[in-house]
Amino acid sequence: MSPMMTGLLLDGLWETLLMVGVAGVLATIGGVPIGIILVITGRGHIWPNAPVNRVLGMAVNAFRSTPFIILMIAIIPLTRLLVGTSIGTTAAIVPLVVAAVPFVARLAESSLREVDPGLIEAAQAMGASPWQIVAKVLVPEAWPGIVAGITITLVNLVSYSAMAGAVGGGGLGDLGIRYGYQRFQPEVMVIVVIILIVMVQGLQSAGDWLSARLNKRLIRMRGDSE
Amino acid sequence: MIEIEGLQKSFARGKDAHGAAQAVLQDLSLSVKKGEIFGIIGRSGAGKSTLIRCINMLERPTSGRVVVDGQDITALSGAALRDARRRIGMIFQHFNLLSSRTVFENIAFPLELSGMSKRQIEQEVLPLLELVGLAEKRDAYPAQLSGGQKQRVAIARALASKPAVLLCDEATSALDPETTQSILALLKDINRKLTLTILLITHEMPVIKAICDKVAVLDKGLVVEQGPVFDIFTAPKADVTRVMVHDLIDRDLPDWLADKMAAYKAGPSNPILRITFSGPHANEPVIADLVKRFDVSLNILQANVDYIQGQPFGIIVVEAVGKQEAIDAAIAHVHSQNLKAEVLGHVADDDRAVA
Repeated sequence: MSPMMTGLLLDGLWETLLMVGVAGVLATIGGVPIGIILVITGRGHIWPNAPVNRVLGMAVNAFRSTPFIILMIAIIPLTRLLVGTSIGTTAAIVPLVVAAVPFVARLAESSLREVDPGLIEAAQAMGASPWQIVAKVLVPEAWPGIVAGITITLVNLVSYSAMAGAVGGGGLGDLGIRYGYQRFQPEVMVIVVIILIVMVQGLQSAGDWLSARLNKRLIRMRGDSE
Repeated sequence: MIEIEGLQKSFARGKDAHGAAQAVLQDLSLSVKKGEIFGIIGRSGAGKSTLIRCINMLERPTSGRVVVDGQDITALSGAALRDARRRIGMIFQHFNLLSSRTVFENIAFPLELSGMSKRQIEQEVLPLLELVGLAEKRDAYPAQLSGGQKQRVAIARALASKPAVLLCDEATSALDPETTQSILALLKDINRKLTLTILLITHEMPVIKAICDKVAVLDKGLVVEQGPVFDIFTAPKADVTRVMVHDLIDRDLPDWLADKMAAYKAGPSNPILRITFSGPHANEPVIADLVKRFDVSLNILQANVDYIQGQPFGIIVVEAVGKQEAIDAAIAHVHSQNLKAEVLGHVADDDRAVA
């Protein structure tokens, strides 16, 4: 492989990592609170509020049902407003975040919903405020599940970032299309795909490991009992 | 310490066929004194869970008042209610420990909620770990503990905010009998050491018998009977209570005896007596006394002595052999001791109960 191609691959790898990493962090920051609001505004939860719950739920569904390729183009004005351009790696991060936030929100919501209602009741009985319940009960108890959700999101972002690359975002996907497909260099395509496979494998394994480590319910029982 | 006055609770969701809200608690009043262990027993669906949750407003009553330690809890909401709840500890059937926190951190939880400093928390938690006997488990996670240990952590957590009252919601129902005994012993111990008022709900009569001073029997949202545990056990009035006590104190005659026994005296036969011991004379050697004083011999067919709240309660079934006058005099003597003697039936002389 030519040094030029190696350089291109490294650039592409960096751009992909940048898109996935930044979009992942921002999607977590945006999505987890939305997931929390979706749960606590539900009926019979600690801060029931039907209008907020319904509107937020519909907005999340709307974004989730829009195909990414359409979403990317539809929000070009927003992208321009935020980063000044609609082309390039930084610009691609905007639609990636917009697509990933509702995804993280739903995954976080389902983990938060699985927190034993008995724990919330116990915290209430101890005089915890709704905010304390969120910060000290809901989020810590759901955290292993949320981490697993973030892992799924990151894997999805790798694939979305390839699509974003095709419309000027750069990254490995873009490289694979331009050199592998349009310039008839199938070996580039193969290398790109291999790198992506390794990347996804690595992300998934790291996420699984971290989630399991954080989950104190999985700590092995020792042979002692009362 | 806890005054419940005219408590009513109905759930709009459980409407009946006529569209009326279903009443779970109906005009319920109870009074629990300081330092008392008060038990509420009832079958599932009797309204026990709702009742205990009305005391710290986890469920808001439809009407009525709950006063805990002089404070009307029903009048509170928001931050004032949260402050009041810190003075009411609660433990649960399924322990409800935070899985993400160690034993130490779980016990520290209510103290963190009230904004206590780390150093102060440490000073408060360590003695509690000692009290419940889990000092060496301070860094273990709930998943590493047995059920009994989890309930001990939950008890320590409930005690951390120095409550005036401890509510126990079926606290031993998920535990095996042996562990149940050790948890009950711990509750009794802290009740004495801290003069902590305990209100517990349960469906298990042995729990009431083991630690309660007073008991209220709840059925279909109503208190059908209440009073000192000894009285309720030895002389249950309501049918529900009788059924529950029955399982614990065996009053049935053995089958072979019931088969041989005739209701009326016919020909030469001996009466079968049941003597019930309770109260101040229960400790006296009544049977030996009867044999010595009157010309009767007694065959003991069945005997059971139980201790409730430290007082003996016994039932002895005997076959009395002797002259009718002597037997009548013996029965009169038993009655004069404030004990109960009843003639259950007669067994023909040639078909002696003890063959």
